[in-house]
Amino acid sequence: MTRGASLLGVVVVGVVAAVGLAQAQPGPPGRPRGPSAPGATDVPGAVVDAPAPPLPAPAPVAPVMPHRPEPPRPPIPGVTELEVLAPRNDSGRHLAVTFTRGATGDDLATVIFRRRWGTPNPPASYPQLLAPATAGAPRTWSVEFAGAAPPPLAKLTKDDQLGPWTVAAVLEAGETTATDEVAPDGTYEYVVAEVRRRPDGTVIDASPGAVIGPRTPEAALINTDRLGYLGIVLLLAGLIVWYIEAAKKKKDLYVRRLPGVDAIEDSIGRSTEMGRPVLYVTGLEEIQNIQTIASLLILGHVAEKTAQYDTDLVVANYYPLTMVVAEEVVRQGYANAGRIDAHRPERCLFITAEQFAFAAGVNGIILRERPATNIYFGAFYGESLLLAETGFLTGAVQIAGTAELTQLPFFITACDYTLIGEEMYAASAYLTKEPNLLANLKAADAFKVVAMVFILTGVALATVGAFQLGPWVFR
Amino acid sequence: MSAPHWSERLQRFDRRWIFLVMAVAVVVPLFLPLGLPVKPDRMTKAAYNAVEALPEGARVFVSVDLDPAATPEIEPYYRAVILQLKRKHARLVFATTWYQAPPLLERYLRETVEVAIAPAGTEGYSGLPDRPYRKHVDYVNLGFREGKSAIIQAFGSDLRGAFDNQADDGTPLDRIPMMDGITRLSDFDLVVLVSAGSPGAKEYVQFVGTRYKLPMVAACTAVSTTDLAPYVQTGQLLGLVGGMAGAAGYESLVGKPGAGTTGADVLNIGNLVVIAAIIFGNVVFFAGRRHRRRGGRP
Amino acid sequence: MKRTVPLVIGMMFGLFALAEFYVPHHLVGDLSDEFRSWAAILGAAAFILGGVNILQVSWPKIRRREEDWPYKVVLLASAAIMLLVGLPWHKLGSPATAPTIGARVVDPAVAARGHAVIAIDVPADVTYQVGKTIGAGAASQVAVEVEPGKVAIKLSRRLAGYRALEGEVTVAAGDVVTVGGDPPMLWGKDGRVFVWIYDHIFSPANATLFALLAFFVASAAFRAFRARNVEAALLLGSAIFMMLGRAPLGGAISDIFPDVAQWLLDVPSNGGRRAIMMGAAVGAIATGLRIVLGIERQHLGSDA
Repeated sequence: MTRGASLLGVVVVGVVAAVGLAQAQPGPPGRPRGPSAPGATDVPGAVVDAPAPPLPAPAPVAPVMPHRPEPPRPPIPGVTELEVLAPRNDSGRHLAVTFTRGATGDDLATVIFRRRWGTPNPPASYPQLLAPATAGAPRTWSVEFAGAAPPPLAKLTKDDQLGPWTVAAVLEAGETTATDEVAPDGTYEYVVAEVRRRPDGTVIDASPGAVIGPRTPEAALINTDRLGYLGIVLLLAGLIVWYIEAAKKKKDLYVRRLPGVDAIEDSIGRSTEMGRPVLYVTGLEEIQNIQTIASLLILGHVAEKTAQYDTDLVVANYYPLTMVVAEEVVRQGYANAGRIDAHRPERCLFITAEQFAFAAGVNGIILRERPATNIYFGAFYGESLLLAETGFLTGAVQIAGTAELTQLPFFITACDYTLIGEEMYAASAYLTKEPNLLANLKAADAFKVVAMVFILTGVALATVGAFQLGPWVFR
Repeated sequence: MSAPHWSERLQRFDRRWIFLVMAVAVVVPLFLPLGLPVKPDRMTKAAYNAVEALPEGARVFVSVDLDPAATPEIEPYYRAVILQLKRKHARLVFATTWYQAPPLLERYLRETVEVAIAPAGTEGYSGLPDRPYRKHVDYVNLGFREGKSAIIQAFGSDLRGAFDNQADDGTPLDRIPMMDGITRLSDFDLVVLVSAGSPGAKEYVQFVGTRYKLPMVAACTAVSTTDLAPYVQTGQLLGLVGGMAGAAGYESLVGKPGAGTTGADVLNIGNLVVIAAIIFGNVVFFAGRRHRRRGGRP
Repeated sequence: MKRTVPLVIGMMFGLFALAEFYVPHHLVGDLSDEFRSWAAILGAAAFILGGVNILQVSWPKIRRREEDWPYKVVLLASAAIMLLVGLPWHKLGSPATAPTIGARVVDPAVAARGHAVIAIDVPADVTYQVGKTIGAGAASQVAVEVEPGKVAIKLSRRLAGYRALEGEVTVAAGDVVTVGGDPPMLWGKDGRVFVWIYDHIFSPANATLFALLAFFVASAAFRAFRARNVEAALLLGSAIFMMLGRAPLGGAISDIFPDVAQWLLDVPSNGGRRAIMMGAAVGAIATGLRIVLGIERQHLGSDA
C-alpha cells in the first residue's frame, strides 16, 4: 500500500510536471531520446507483428527534460528480436518473453512492461509511449519516463504499476528471457526497454522500447514433455490388464515367497499364544504418501488376522488423519473377519506428530504393553532403530517394511524380517492371493524386465561410447 | 547340571554394559580431547571451495531445515559456513521449511549473524575477522513456510510470492534494499542447504536444483550422506558436508575449530567402540560355534 | 453399494490426480488447488480428532488409576500447557509498541555543542538503539548525544519472546529528551514462555532421544554383525571401513580408509540403492494403479 501510494504520488507529480514542462518547453528534449533519436528507428526486428493490428492511438507527448541534466551519455540501443510466445505445455497463465539485448553494461537492466491489449493510452502515461516516427514504420516506440523529472525517477521492480502498465520483469545484465505470469483470459501487449540505472537502482535513462502484441496465453491440454511418463504408466497398466486376463485362464500364478509377509500370520499366532498384543506402526509420513497407503492396505489384512485370532491390535499413528483412516481400515478388517464386535477403536492411537516424541511414545507402548509382535510398515526416518532395538530388547518378533533407503540397514539389523522397498508394496497383494492382485505383481515384475533391458542397453552403449569402441563394435 | 559355556553367557550379557562403555567413550573425549588431525574429505573440500569462489558481497540463500535433534551434527557446519560467508561480506537470506526450526533459526541469527563469530583477536583464529550483520541490511530472515516439496518449488519460481512478499517480522521485502533483484532462487549466487532430513537438500535437488540450474552446497546428517552423495557425483550439488566428521573437516578448512572438531574426537572413540563391539560379538559368536561343533552344550 | 460408492469416489480422485500430471491446463490446476485446500482443511480438522483421541485414551486410564496413569497426567498437562502458552494472549490487551517519550528540557551546554541528548531510561537487560548508537540499559539513565532532527529509537531485549519497541523522536539543538520503555513479553509461538519451553525442554529432550541412537547402534552392531558366511563377512568389513573412513581416525591411520569408504559409497552402495529405488518406484506405481483402477478393494470391505 505504501509503495503503491508512493508510486501513485510519483505518477501524479510526474503528470503535472510533464504537462507543465510540455507547455513551457515544447521543443525536443535536451539529450537524444524519442522517436527521432539515434537508434530508435533503426532497431531491427523489434517489431514482429505485421501488419500491425490497430492499437489505441497513443497520445504523443513531448518528452521531458530533466530538471538537473545528467552528464551526456551515448543513447542506449533498444532490444531486438523481441518475441512473446505462450510457452509449450503451459497452464495458460504464462507468456515467455525473449529478446536480444542491444547493449550490455553493469548499469543497464532490461524492463519488461505489460498491459492489457486495447488499454487506452492516457496522456503522459508512465512510461509514455511515443508514436512511431512515420506511419507504417516498424512499431518501435520510444519509452519516455514521463513525469520523472527531476531524476532519480524511480526504482522499477517487478509488479510496479505505472499507469496502465505493469512491470512484468526487471532483468539484470545477461538475462534475455523471462516468463511472465498473466491471467489466463487476457490478451496482452508488451514493451521491452533497456534502462540505465544509478548504483542505487534509480532509473535515469531508457532506450527506445520494442513493442509487441497482441499476445494471448495458451493452455495446453496435454503436456507433451511428459508423454514418456504416460507411456510408462500405460505400459504398466497394459501389463496389469494382460496379466489379469492371463490369471483368469491360469489360476495359479507363481509369485516368489516373501518370508516377511508369511511371518505376519505366524507372529500373530504367537501373540495369541502369549496373550500379548500386536503393535502396528503406520510410519511417519502423511496419508497421501504411497508408503503410508501401502502400510494401511497391509494393516487391513493384519486387522483381519488379529480379529480371527482374537488378539489385541494396537495401531500407532504419527498423523491424526492417518489415525482416522487406520481406524476405519481396522474396523473393516474386523468386519471382514465377522468380528466387528471385537473392534476397539480406542486401540487406534494418535501419538504425536513430532518425530522423537513419537519414538518415545511408541517405545513406551513397547515397554509397558510388551507386544509379542511389532510391525513397522511405512516411511521411517531416524527413529527406526530406536523403535526396532527397543522391540528387540522386549523379545518381540519384529517385521518391518519401508522404501526409505537410509533406514533399511537399521531395520535389517534389528528386525526379524524386513521387506525392502517394492516388497512392501507387494505385501498386500501377496497376502490376499487374489488372482487380480497377483496379476498386478506379475505385471510389475514384467515391467522391471523391460526396464532392465533398457538399462543394460544404455550401459552397453555408454560403455561403447566411453571407450570409443564404436568402430570396433559396429564395423 | 554344568554352567553354560562362557560364550553363551556373553551372548546374553546385559546390553547396558555396552551402553555404559559408549557413554564413557562419548563423555571422556569432551574433557580429554585427542586432538587427532582432521582431514576434510573430497566432498567437504568441494563445498568449501564453492563458497570460497563467491565474489565479495554475493547473494546467498541459506535454508536451515533442521530440528534440535540434528543440531549436534549440523550446527558446527552452519557456524563455520556462516563465518566463511560473512568473511566474504555475503548478503544472506534465511528461510526454513521445518516447523521445528524457527526458534532455532532465531537463536542462530542472534548468536552468529547479528554478532561477530570471530572478531579480530579471536584466540586460535587467524583468518579474516567477520562483523555483526544488520537485519534487513546485510541479512533477511524470511522465516518458515509449510508445504514441504511444494513450497520448495514455489521458492524456485517465486520466492517473494511464497513468503507473501514480506520478511518474517512482517517487513515488506520491497522496502529491503538488499532484496532488490531477488525474486526466485536462481537470483542467488549460491544456495546453502543446512539439511537434517526431509524436506531438505534432496527435495531442493529434485524439485528446483536441476530445473533452475542452481549452484547448491549441502550439509546433512551422517546417515543421509549415502542418500545425497550421488548428487555430488552428478554435479547437482557442488559439495556435501556429511555429519560431524564433515563438519569437523569444514571447520578445519575455515580455520576456526569448534564443536565439530571436539565432536570428531567423540566420533573417533565412538566408532572405535562400535568396531570393538563388532569384534567382541564375533569372538563370542565363533567361540560359541567352535564349542558347539566340539559337542558342547549350546 | 456400500463398497461401490467409495470405490468410484476413490477412482475419480485417483484418476484426477493422475490426469493432473499430464494435463497442464489451468482449470485442472485450479481444481487441483481446490482439492489440496480440502485436504489441508481435513488434515487440520483431524488434529482436533487427534486431540480428542488422546483424551479418550488417557482420561479413562487416569480415572481408573490404571498402570502408569501418572504418565497420562503428565501427557495431558503438557498438552494443555503448550496449548495455553501457544495462544497469543498479549493480543487481548494493548501492550506498548513504541518507547515512551518523556520530559523535554533545553540544556544550553548541549545547545552550544549543536547537539541534542536522548536520555535512555530502561531496565538493565534492555538494549537500546538510538540512531546508530547501540548500548545496554543501566541502573541509571544513559545519555546519548545525537544530531538534531529525527532520531530512530529501538528498545529490545536480547532474549527472544519480547516485542521490540520502535519509535522516532524529533529533537532540536539543545533538547534533552527522556525516552523510556520496557519491551513487553509476548505469548504465542514467538512468545517468551513458548521459546523458553522450546529451548529448555523440547530441544534437549529431542536431541537426547536422537543421541540414544549411538547406544542402540553399538548394541545392534554387537548382535548383528556376525561373519556367519562370506556375504556377512563382506558386510562386516565394509562397515568397519566406513566407520573408520568417515571418522578422522581412519585418515590419521592411513589414507586407505577414507578412500575405500568413498569408493564403497560411490560404487557398490550407489548401485544397490539405485536398484532398490527403481524397484520401489515400480512398486509404488503398481500400488497406485491397483487402487485407482479398483483392483485393490480389501480396504473397502464387502458390499454386505
